[in-house]
Amino acid sequence: MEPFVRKPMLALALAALLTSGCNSADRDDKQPNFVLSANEVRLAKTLAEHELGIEPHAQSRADRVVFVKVDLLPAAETERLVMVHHYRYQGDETIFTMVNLKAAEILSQEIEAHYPTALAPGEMERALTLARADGRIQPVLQIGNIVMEARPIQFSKAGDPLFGHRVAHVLLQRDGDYLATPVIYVDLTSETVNLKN
Amino acid sequence: MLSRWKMGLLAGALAVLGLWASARAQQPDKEPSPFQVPPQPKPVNEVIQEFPSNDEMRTAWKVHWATSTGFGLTLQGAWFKRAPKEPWMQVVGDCRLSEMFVPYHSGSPRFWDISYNFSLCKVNKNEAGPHGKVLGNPPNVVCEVRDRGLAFVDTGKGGRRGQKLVLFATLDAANYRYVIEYGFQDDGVITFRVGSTGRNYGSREWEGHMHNGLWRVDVNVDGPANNSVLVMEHMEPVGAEQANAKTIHRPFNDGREGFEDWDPLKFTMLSIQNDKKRNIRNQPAAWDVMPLRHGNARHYGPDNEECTQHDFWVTQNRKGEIYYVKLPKYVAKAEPIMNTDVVVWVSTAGHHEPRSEDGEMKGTSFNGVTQLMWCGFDLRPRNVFDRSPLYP
Ligand SMILES: [Cu+2]
Repeated sequence: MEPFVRKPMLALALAALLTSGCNSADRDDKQPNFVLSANEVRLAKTLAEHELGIEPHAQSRADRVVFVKVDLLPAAETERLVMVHHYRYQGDETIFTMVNLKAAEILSQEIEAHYPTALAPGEMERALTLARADGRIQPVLQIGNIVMEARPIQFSKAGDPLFGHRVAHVLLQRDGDYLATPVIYVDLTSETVNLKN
Repeated sequence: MLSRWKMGLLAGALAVLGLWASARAQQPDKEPSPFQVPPQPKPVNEVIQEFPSNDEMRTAWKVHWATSTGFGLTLQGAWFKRAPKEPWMQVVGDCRLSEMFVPYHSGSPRFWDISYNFSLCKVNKNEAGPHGKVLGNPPNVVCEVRDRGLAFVDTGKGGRRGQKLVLFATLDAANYRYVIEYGFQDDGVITFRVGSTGRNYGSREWEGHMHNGLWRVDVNVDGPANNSVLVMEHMEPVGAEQANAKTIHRPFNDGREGFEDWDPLKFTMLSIQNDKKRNIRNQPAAWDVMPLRHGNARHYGPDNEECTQHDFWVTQNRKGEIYYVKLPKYVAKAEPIMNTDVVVWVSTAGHHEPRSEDGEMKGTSFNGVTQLMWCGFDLRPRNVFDRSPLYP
């Protein structure tokens, strides 16, 4: 894979990052070395998304790609390696982009279908919003003292209607205890709420 | 002639490339001379512990820990000193609970609780206990020295108690909690443990399931180079005489990347040794993977569960390879694992069959907590010392 420096369009796209006082190797020296700075995360995300050809604001619901997380990878002190994770709704795909932050260089990009991927914070929030708005759940919420929490869940059997979909299980707690029912699966792929009592 | 905006764009692009070139130029092409390196301050994530903690030093550990969402508490490296005047010897590089796979008996759900990127819990004084020092910002790691009971009892010189340095932190996996714990014993052993606790899963409170603690351990005996992975097996009987037994030492998977399984009749152990580092008996220094198993987990859900179908995997240490689910792909090249930088992957699974001690239904909600169930293994030195450690 070509290092990004050979791609002048990306150099321009990164101008804001670079001229705002951070260069490719910047991290926060006050933090321990295992903490990724906001600049590092931004750089990794930008490089990966350029390689993917993503335009985050121009995505339809079906083919949207969400940025999930960046993992710091073990590396020699001369390198600062990260793995950027994106999720593509189309095909239930996780995209792994390995980036050397010190060289601002992409080392590899791989795609896995049906991989157990985390939900992005925005997706968790969306799942809670959809659940909260569902009329069938309102009576439970009106009991009071209910805390809602979204966690990832995958349906792995090929015949399951939720197979290959992006799903959050919304758990309900009352006074710290989890309710056995209702069981709420929010399907973020179809933006529907599935309920089991 | 270029218009003003085109000139501006060009200038911007040149500035970007200039900054870029300067960032590149700051990277050293070769190792700087030792005379140019100023003394480095101790990293904030370094813990050095001498043993015994209350008497003249006999051995010591130096540990670099790290935290992140997802993996929780990890190690960046650990170094052992077998005697006060000896240099530090590296034992491990990056170590982590690479995955926590939790399939339920009815077939669903099947959770991958490390990949799901949960955060660590903030630790409180109760959890840290009277001797625990809380580390991290936010505070989420506990560091303490524990009495580990008897280290040995000698016929001539009597017994001695041992100690260990322990680092632990707890992953906040929705209704569940995983306590990730690394112990560094005064005799050179590293203990890897994960404890499952928390609330049984809503609506499946009484359904059996598994907690597969799946570890990635970059063993670096005296550094990353020249490490080889062997299997040690006890065989019985052998030959015509039924009472005869023997130990087999052989390269793991014929010396190539791949997997092996734990056989209870063979007491299967792995030994990661460095041929270039020898003790007084001219034996290669090694650290052995000592299994402490509840059983061998095997799961047959979707394809990505192939990684759970073997107990030990070994790979070369390559960039970016930290994800347990991808192990079958990592080993596909079948590269050599002798005299190189190796990573050992160990499955330590526990079966959770819910019991009344986990909690009770109160109306429509579940109240109570599952007591910690521990899984793990030890890394134990072999021919690292010249004599019995901690012996009078
Ligand atoms: Cu359990």
